[in-house]
Amino acid sequence: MTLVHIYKATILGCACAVVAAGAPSVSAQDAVNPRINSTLTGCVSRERVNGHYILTQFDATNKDAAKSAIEAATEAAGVPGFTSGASSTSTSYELKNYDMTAYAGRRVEVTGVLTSPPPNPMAEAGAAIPGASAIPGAVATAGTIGGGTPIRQMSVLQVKPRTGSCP
Amino acid sequence: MLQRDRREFVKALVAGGAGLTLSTRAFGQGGRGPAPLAAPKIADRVSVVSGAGGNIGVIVGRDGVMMIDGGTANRAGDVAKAVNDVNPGMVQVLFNTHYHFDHVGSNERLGMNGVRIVAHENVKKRLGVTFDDPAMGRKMEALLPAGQPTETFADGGRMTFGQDTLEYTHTPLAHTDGDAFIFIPTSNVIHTGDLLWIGRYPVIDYTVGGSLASMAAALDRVDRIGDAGTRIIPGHGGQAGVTKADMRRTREIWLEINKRLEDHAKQGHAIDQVIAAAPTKDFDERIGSGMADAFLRQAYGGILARR
Repeated sequence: MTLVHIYKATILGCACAVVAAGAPSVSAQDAVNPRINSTLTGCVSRERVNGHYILTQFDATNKDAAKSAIEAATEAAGVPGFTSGASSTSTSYELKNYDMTAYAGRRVEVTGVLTSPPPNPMAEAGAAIPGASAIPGAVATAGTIGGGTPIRQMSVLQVKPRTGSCP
Repeated sequence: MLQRDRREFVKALVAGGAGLTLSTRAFGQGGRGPAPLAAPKIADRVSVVSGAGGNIGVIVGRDGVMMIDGGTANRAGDVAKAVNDVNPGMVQVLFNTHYHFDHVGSNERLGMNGVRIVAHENVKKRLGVTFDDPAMGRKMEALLPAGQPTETFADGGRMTFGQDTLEYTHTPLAHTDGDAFIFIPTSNVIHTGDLLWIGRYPVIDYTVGGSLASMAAALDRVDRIGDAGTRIIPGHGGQAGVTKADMRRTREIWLEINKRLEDHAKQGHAIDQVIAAAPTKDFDERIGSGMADAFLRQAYGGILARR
């Protein structure tokens, strides 16, 4: 085998590797592994905001910080229990298609289908939730999916009361 | 000295090749070569590049080429070559039918070269953020700024490309929240994006508002455009173009399945009960049963999300 043959074989080998690295076509339909039901645990707002109760999840590792931020936000807003994204320690979800009245202000576990409205550039100005611009702290970090992202929504299928207090 | 340099060169090539192979395996893609791309011509100036994600429409104009969708990013180079084989003119415009990764994979490559990228405004919003999408069971990754649409629309519009005036129409909350189909009147061709799937069940991105019922309704809108001779490029399958009759048959099946799923939802059934009842059984052979479970989860999720 001459050097020329070695070069050819090697280059051919590399070309094959490059082709393989091109990877098989991956399509959305080939990669689908849907999760229908998601479960969230958190506190339900005491009142509706734009017709829906809000569930807020707190970061368990920083509950105090979350609480103080929530208190500041709700006091300033005058909306008891509404705690949308005042800090990165909480995440909020608009609860739809289920009468949550009996759970207002309480800690619950909700199961349902999560949906994500289109990101709203106005969210950065505090309007992620329609009408929420009047609420200081109700900014894009709520239900975060990246900067300028609106609160996420859940179509609720099941609710279970959970022990624990809510701010 | 020369001999040694050659040896080093060969070693480097071999090492490079091995590295590529290893990294490929590390990503779980070893052992399968990429699917070859096909590019059948379905009208005088319209071809369909397939095999790299969603079907890509290629329109040849006087001064270049327009692409409708761009396949997956890992095949963007192959797509560029296939499009070049159709016509060596420069790509002037890329139209995104929706935001899914198997349709916007050429955005960054073309955007960096100054190509106009046109899409519905929600496509741009979705492509600007990374977010978790339970319906798709994955994170949907944001694109680099260069890959973002440069022109957006809300409802639809017209666009001149070469000798063609193309008409595009947004169908709200169908497969996603930013779908659009596009009609090429001079060729009598419609590219539906993922509003239509032939030969397999559709994907329904209910996280962003998609539903099977709305996809069927969107096909009604497609049906009102063109005439009985219109050739249709689906988002997946049917890459040689299908007829309106094919599209209507698919729509009827979707509506029937949706009705059955609505009945399950009314009875409060969980998805596992729905899957166990096999509501698509009589269609699986015709449509393809490979993805029936995933399809049922998405179709049912779309119903539950809207209740």
